Amino acid sequence: MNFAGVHKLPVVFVANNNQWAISVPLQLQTASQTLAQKAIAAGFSGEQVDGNDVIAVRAAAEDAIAQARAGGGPRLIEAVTYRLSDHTTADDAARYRPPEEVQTRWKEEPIARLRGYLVSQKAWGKSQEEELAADCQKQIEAAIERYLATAPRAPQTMFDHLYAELPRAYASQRAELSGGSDA
Amino acid sequence: MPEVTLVEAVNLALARAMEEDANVVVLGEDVGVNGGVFRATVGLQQRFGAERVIDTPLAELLISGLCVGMAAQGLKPVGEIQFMGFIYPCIDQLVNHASRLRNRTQGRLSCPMVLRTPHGGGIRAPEHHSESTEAMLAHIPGLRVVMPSSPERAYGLLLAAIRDPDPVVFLEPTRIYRASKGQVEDNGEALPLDVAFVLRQGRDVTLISWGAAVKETLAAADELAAEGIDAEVIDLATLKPYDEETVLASVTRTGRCVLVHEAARTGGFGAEVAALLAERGLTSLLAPVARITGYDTIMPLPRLEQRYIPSVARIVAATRKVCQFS
Repeated sequence: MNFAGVHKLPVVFVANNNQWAISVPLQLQTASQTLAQKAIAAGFSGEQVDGNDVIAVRAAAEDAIAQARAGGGPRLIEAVTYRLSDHTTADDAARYRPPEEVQTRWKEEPIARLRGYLVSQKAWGKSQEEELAADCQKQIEAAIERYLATAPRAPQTMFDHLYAELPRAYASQRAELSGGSDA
Repeated sequence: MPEVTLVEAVNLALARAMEEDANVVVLGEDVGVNGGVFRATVGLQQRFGAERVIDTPLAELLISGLCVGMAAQGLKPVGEIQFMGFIYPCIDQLVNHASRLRNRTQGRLSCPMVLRTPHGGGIRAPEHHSESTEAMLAHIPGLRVVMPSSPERAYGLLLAAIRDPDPVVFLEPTRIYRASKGQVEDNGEALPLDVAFVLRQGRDVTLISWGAAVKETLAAADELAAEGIDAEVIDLATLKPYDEETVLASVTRTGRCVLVHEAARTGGFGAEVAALLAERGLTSLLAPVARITGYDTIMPLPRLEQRYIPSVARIVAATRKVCQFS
């Protein structure tokens, strides 16, 4: 951010502030009131946006991108949100945050909010959503099938993109993986 | 042919590379108006402009990160790290990005960057200014590590490093930046990477070194010659990947090997070469492989640094001992 500020580069920085690392909360990571204010030290503007509001995030991004493209320099967008899920499938967030806290945050879940708004505007309905979900499901299944149908690559291919041209010194290691006699 | 110092040869190579390829950019601390603390980039900003010779903040992670980004998008960045002791923030970019961008993208992106830094001690500098941690870098797959030991090789190898399609760390031996001059024709001719240079041919023993230590190694070979010991001297020049075949061919003939480097002994690059000889050259060996290196200490401050850096006397004594075996 510092150097982008120095050279007024066309960069939009986005901090997805979901309040948590894995188990370490924001207040143990920074004493700053906001993340957006970090842009001040870099000499450009930063702003907070409701990260659970799809329309607001889009508007903030459009504005920042237009400014960057027009030569107005970088901007930092802090999208304030909340990590509703565990960090990974191996994580149990109940160890470090009360489930009640997570429950209240579900009210701000961005997809539900967007759906509610679109439905209230009569721009979205149940059949459309079912169609979209079915289409997504199909795409996921096709990707899984494609992956499962793809044979694993030959082990020596791990050398293929190491250098533009494999140095002579590593030819024997590659041969070892190909089952060659050069090893 | 003009006589130039090693650091002047670096400057000539940079200017030549910038002249012949508009994608070559130079960036680092004090490289612009000031021309670099060792004057390696002197005159470049005046000649090629501030767009191509970029003064950066004092932030090595930034310098290396900018190099990765620029290289991935088609430029040929040459970053300068002011001293090797400041290179450690760059390890993140070198390990996690530069060395594996090609592999990660299966060849869609590449990272043709060069990171130059002065290497080693002997200039009476304070702490952090005398590092020789090349073995750390030579351990990184996908990287090249190159170190010249003369003005001619500085010129030719730096040009090769800049033209190379993959990332190169180019270590410049600080101690011999201005120690002597060499004849360098500024004709744009590169020297090959991944190739060791046989600087002196000999029958009795192979002395292998790189960087500034080549100077003492050559001086030791002269002294040994006066005693009737005919030493071959090899400058490894590229440590990653290194020229195993030249090393093996030489030791197969001489049957003896002394490795000389300024870096600390344990896990130093000499250990790698010694392991190669144990694996593939054992039956040729007439004597144990010897290592003359810096000690496993922190590089001492100026008053003791000459006791740390391998001296001609230490190399001569070790070689004599190795030659007593037959």
